[in-house]
Amino acid sequence: MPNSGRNINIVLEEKIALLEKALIRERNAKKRLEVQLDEKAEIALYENKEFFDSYEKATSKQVQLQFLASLTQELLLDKNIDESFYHFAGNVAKLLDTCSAVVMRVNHDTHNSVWSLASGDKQWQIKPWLQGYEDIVNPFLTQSELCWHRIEYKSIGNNAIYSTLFRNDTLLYLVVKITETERRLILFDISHFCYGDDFKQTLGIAAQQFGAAIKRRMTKVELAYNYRDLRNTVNELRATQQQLIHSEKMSSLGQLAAGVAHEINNPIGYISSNLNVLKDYLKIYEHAFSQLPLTIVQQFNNTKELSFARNDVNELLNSCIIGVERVTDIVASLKTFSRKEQDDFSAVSINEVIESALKIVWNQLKYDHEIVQELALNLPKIQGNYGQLQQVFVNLFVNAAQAMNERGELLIESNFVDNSIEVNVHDTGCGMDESVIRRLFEPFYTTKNESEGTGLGLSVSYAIIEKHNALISVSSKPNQGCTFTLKFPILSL
Amino acid sequence: MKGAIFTGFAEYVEKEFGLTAWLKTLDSCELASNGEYLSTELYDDAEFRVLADTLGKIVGVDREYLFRGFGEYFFPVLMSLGLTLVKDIDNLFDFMRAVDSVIHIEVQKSDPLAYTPTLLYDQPQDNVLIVRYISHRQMCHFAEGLILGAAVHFKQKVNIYQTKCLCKGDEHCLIRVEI
Repeated sequence: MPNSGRNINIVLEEKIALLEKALIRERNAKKRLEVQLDEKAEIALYENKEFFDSYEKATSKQVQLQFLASLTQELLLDKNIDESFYHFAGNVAKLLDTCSAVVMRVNHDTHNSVWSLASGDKQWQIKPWLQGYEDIVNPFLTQSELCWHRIEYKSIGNNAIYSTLFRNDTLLYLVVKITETERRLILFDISHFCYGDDFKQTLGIAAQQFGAAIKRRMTKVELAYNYRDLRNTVNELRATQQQLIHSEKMSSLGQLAAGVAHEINNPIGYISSNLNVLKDYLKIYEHAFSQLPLTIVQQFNNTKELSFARNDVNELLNSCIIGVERVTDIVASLKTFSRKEQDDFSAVSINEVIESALKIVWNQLKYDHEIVQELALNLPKIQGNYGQLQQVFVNLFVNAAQAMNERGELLIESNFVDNSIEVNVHDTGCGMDESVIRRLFEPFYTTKNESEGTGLGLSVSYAIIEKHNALISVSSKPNQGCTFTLKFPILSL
Repeated sequence: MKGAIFTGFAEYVEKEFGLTAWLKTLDSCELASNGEYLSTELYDDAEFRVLADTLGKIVGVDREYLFRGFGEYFFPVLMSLGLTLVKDIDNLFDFMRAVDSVIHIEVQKSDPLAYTPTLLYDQPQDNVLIVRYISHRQMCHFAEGLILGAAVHFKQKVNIYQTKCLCKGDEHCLIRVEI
């Protein structure tokens, strides 16, 4: 039995060994077969691989293009800088597994700002800028712009400050230059940045696109500012040019007027004097003539003519004297117009001047027109000549009265505006067109009848205003009334 | 799942725990394939989990340990296949970046439209590579084992840990590899 049992064991061991060998042979045969199958499968795969790779690439590219196209479309919309940042950062946050995002405005000139978008939220929140934020972001600002940078929290430090904005260990950030002094940082609070190369490339392109859009927007803003400045400069130049032309014209007219006044003044002086002497002489003649006996007078050949002449001579003489007085007045006005030197100036209350001028013309105005005074209280005084300024306002009020039909309104306002006193004299009269306004301050230019004005009132007023370093302007349209605006510099203490 | 993984696993179990452990495992499971695996075919993912869990019970180890060990064992097998994409690689990180493509091709040989895991990478520092492993198969510990095997192969000291793991309910695995 023991021998037969041992034989059985030997047979079993031999059988197991043979089976193991058979198993190894089978396994090796199977492996060879599998290798052959694998090779065939590989050949089959590579025959179609191009197609599958192209399909995979096309699918991936389509997603990228869709994202970039929607981004571009939004960037082209006329959004302001803040909105552009919200939109871009919000969209990228969605792509990055809906992570939370932070936008920081770091400005060397003004205060810094920070906005945050919580994960899955649509609304950006303004957050207070804490003192330690500079320490976190300053190293970021030295990095190249418009390239994505990723940093792990371990390298950042300052846990307490960091955790006020971020929860994860990794930050993905982008630096965008706005101006020379302002940079903006877009930061994404991410748990990882394990993405495919295509995805990272798409993010890179998006950052470049965004940077270009921001640059374009800033250029547009800069252009708009430049355009505004340029337009202001052009307007200022145009106004200065007009002022210069006008001043030049008025100066030439002033010289002409001064020359004419000087030439007329002397003959008018002795004509006026001689006429008065002549009047006295005539009185003597008349007295002597009246003492002649009537019989002698009747012996004259031309008794009738003599009688007529005696009656007419006084009238003629008086008329001449009035005419000469008028010429004298005109010459005096011309002198005022052309005189450049400072007259007696003192501190003057413009409201008092207006009120006194109104008293002078009151009778001319009170029955036909309504007068409205809106004079500001406690106006500072100006440096000026009371009488001359009164003359200016009398002139303006008389002109207004003459321009208005019955029941017109004369509105007089005084105000303290931009460090000067502004007076507006507004009437509801017939107004003027542009051609009249252009020549308004020229001497002897008038739209009135010959009997009503000499055309010197406004030109003299202009000269007086100029001597006061003040400005006078007019705004008017036909049938829409007229407003004279006078701006006086206040008396500097 | 590709049959090569099953056949490789069988070899690993046979080497580590003995042929009988593998046969006993096959015998204890009711498998649609009946345990008849060809490396060129694709099999149901569930079979692998059933095999691993049954084996774990038989030999008294957990799935994590088995997968990691299998990964380490399988790396030299992978390299011995002479795959064009990895044969010239001489360092761990390059291998890790290439392995995704290797898996894709190997699976696609059996079925060009078959599901493949996704491996995505980030290298925040020169000595750190983070791998995001996305797969419903939850084979992240096998991936860890492969990396360990590769580290041995390329003679690089390595420190591996997962900061996130599908098996713990996270939406993906983040495997941090520091050399």
